Amino acid sequence: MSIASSRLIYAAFAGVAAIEAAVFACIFFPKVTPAYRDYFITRTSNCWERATSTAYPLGQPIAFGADVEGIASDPFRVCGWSGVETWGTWTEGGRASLMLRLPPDAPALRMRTKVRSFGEQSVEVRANQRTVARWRLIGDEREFSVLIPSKIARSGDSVRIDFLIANPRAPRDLGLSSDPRRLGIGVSRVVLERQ
Amino acid sequence: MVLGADNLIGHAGAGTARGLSWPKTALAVAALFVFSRLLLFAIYAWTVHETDPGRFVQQLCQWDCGWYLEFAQKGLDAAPHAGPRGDAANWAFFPLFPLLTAGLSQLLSIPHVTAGAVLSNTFVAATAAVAHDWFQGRPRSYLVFCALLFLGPFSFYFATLYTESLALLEAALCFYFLKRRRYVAAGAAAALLSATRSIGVFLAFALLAAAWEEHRSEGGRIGGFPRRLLGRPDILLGVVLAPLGTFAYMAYLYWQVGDALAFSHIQRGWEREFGNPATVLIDALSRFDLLLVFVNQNSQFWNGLWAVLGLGLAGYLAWRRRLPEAVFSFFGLLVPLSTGILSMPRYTVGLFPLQLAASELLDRTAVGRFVVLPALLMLSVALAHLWFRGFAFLV
Repeated sequence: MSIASSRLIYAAFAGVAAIEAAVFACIFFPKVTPAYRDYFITRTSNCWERATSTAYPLGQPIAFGADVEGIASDPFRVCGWSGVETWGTWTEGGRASLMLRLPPDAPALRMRTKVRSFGEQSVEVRANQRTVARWRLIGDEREFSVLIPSKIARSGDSVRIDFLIANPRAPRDLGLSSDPRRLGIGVSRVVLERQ
Repeated sequence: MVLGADNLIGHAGAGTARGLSWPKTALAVAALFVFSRLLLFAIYAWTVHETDPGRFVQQLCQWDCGWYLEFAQKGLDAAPHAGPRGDAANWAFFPLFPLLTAGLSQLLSIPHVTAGAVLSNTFVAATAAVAHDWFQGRPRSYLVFCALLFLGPFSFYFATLYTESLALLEAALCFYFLKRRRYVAAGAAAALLSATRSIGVFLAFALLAAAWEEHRSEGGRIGGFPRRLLGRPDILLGVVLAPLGTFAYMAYLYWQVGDALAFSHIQRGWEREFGNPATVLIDALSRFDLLLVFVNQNSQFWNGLWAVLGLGLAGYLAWRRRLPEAVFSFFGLLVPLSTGILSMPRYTVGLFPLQLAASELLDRTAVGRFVVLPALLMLSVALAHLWFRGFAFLV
């Protein structure tokens, strides 16, 4: 190898290394939204919010399981839900949310929910940011009924339901399986109907 | 211990030229390739009772193929949108193969899925041609290698829009150049692989291992290796070229998404996160859920078995003192294993050195050639049948 070609290769090496170092530095300065950072980079959030606003026909059961009768839950899910199983869907992490667009002048509503829990769980239920119920579950499936006053239901054209789970836990952490999902409650069906 | 340059060549030493001249071997390989594709079509026709070639190509494109297809058709996703939580995007899929597919589709005005299949088949045939270099004077061994490549378990991945065939070719080219101590060319091939799959980055370590072997074979001392590296700009350039494909993709992601590691961070959409590969493997093997493949179409044990097979073959390469190939294989298995057990069969068959090692071991004994190899080919037929039926454990 001649000295000239050797110098050329050293220069190419330095150039490529400099480009790679510059790109590598970009790792430490992401230009993303706080929601993206919390969910994907630091993983401090379990809620990747989907923009959804699907009209909900009052009284229709929303099915969270493949074998559960009702309309599919997917269009109403905002975040915090795992994959659909036959019986229902587990929540993942500390919050799971639904968004349902209601008819104009929605009346006071009653929400009936069939739900089980992964271990013992305390759950706070919010409708449009207002706490409407607190549940305590110890595993087996139960049906809960929650009143959503009309002033809350009418505070927008949609109602957002948040389930805040106090103690989500991963089966992996408990030595039960390799499942790393932090499970909270398992919902099989939700119905909103006129009070 | 001084390692000879022949270690890189990696002859198993088992086969000898018997009966077949090289032109005949080339013809036999071509016939094997055509037969393998006709067999795949026959399995398709038998499975779905249909003989439309267009539908055959579409039916081959299962599971992650859909992601590559969407990438080729629409480019990078602007934001996460897919999956049950809406947190998946095609950023996890590296761009070179989808870009080539899009280019060929446009050039020939053919559907993307067809372009992907054409490319995949071309790349696997080219891999066989490059691999010929490892089997000089050993036509029978070469035929065993080609039989495994074209007809072996999971070989259907090399016929559709998956990156495995291109990754095999790029790795083969990299090791081909490494055998000749052409580090810059090897680094360029590695750069292409790192734009195809993230494991291409680890070819940088294979280059370093090759440089180390060269250094030791020439009587160099351990302490003198860094100085040797600094005095060899071709090695330095080869090593920094290897990850260039991934860095180029990272730069593009930073420009488009604002996150240079978006390809890794988006793995959350598939519930993959980094952990201890040993824990993942032990957990999978302790399940004994092989029969579940016929119930919920998934089995961690099945994936674990393939990971063990891959690690065993990488161990064989290490035992044969084929350091660069062993280093690349271990990285190529352990890094994906650290994020979960899923897809380990695909990651195993997609590593060129492991294909070499498997064929060499099969060719060593009559049992390998006449019992194990036919058994693997029968398994391959069964797996292809289940692939056309959409069984998830094959992903």
